[in-house]
Amino acid sequence: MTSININILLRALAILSVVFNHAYLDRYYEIHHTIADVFFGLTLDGGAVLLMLLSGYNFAQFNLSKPVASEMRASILKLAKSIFIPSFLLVVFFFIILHKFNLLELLFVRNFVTQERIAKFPTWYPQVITQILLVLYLVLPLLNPIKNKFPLLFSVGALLVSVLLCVVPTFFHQFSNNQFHLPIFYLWIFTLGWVIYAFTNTANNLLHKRILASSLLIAAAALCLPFDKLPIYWIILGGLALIWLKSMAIPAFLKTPISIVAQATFTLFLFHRFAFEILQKIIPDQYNYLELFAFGLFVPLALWLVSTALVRSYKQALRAASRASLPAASPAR
Amino acid sequence: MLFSRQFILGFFTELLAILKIGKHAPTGIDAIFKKVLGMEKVDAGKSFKQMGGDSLSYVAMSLELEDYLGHIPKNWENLSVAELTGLAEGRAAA
Repeated sequence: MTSININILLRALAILSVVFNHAYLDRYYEIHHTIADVFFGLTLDGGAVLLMLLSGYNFAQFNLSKPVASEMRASILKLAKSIFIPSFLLVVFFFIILHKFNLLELLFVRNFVTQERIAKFPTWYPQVITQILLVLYLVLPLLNPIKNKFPLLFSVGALLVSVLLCVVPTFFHQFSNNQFHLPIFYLWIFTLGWVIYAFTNTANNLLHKRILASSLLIAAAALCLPFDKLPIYWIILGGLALIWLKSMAIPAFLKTPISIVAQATFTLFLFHRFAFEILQKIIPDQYNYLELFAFGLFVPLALWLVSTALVRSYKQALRAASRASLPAASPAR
Repeated sequence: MLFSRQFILGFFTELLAILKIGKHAPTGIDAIFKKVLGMEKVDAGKSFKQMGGDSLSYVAMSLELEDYLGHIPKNWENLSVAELTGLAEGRAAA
C-alpha cells in the first residue's frame, strides 16, 4: 500500500466519472435505449461538479491568496487564458471539420440559452468557468483589502452571496433544464472550494474550523442541489474528504495510473468525446460501454503523454542548446 | 533540433519518466522546478506560487516533490526553492 494526496485522488475520480458517464449514458443509452442493466440504472453523474469544487479550492490556493491586487488579477487572467484558449481552439476545430457554426458557441456564451453544442466536448464547463473568472477578475481586486484582512470571513461571505444567487432566482422564475448551465448555479460550488481552503489552511488548524467548514458544505449543498440526484453526494463526500483527509491509502500499483489521470484531467475533459467519435467511425456501434469508456480514456491519455513528453524534451533541448552556446559566446565579449 | 538524436532520446526518457518506468532520479529541487514550470533559471528565494505555479502545474509539481522528498511538505507551494532544498538535504543527512 501507498498513500496519495487527496486532491489528486479526487481529481482523478471526478474525471473518470465524467468519461464513464458520457460513455454509457450518451452512447450506450442512445443505442440500446435502456440503462437498466448498468448499476441498476444508476449513473455516475456528478464528477463535473466535484471538478468545479476542486477548481475553486485550487483557485483559493493559487489566485485568491495573492495579497497584491495586481498580482491576483494577472494570475486570474493567466488561469482564464489557460482554460479558454485550448477550449476555444477546439470549438473552432469542430466548426471546421463539421462545417457548422454558431456565434454564441464561438463567443462562449451558448450556455445561457441552450445545452446544445456543435463541439464534441462538454463546452458548458469551460464556458461557465471562463464567465466566473471574468466576473472575479473585475470584482475581486475591489474587495482585496477585506479579503486580506479577514480571509475566513471573506470566504464565508462569498459562499453566502453565491448560495443566494443560486437559490433566489428560482423563486421568481422556473428554470427549465436547458437553462441549467448558468454561472449563478455553479458559483457557489467554486466559492465552497474557497471556504474549504480557508478553513483547512490557517495557522491554527483547529477541529472546530473543520467542523464549521463541514457544516457549511452540507448546508450549501442541501440548499442548492436536489437530493434525488448524484451531484449532491459527490460534492458532500468530496468536500468532506478535502476537509478531513490530507491523503488516502491506495494499492501501490494504482498510484502511477491515478497520478497520470489526475495530471491529464483537462486533456481528458476536452478530448474524450472526440475519442468516442473516432471509435464510432472505426467500428460503428460494435462496442459496449466499457470498451467505449476505455477508448475514451486511452486516446486523450496518449495525447497528453506524448504532448507533455514533447514539450518537456523540447524545453530541455532548448536549455541544453543555450548552455552549449555560452562558452562560445563568452570569448567574443 | 526537433529531429536530432538527442531530442528523440530526451522525448523517450521523458515518456518513461512520466510512466515511472525504469529509474529516473531527479537531480534536485532546482531541476524539478525547471522541468515542471519549463523555466530556464530558478530563483532560490522564490516559491512555486511566486514563480507562476498554478492549479494546472500543481499536480505535476506535487507528484515530483513527493517522489524526490518521500512526502509532500505542508504548505509546500509557499516554500522557497532554498527551503525545499534544505528539507531534501535534511532528509538525506538523516
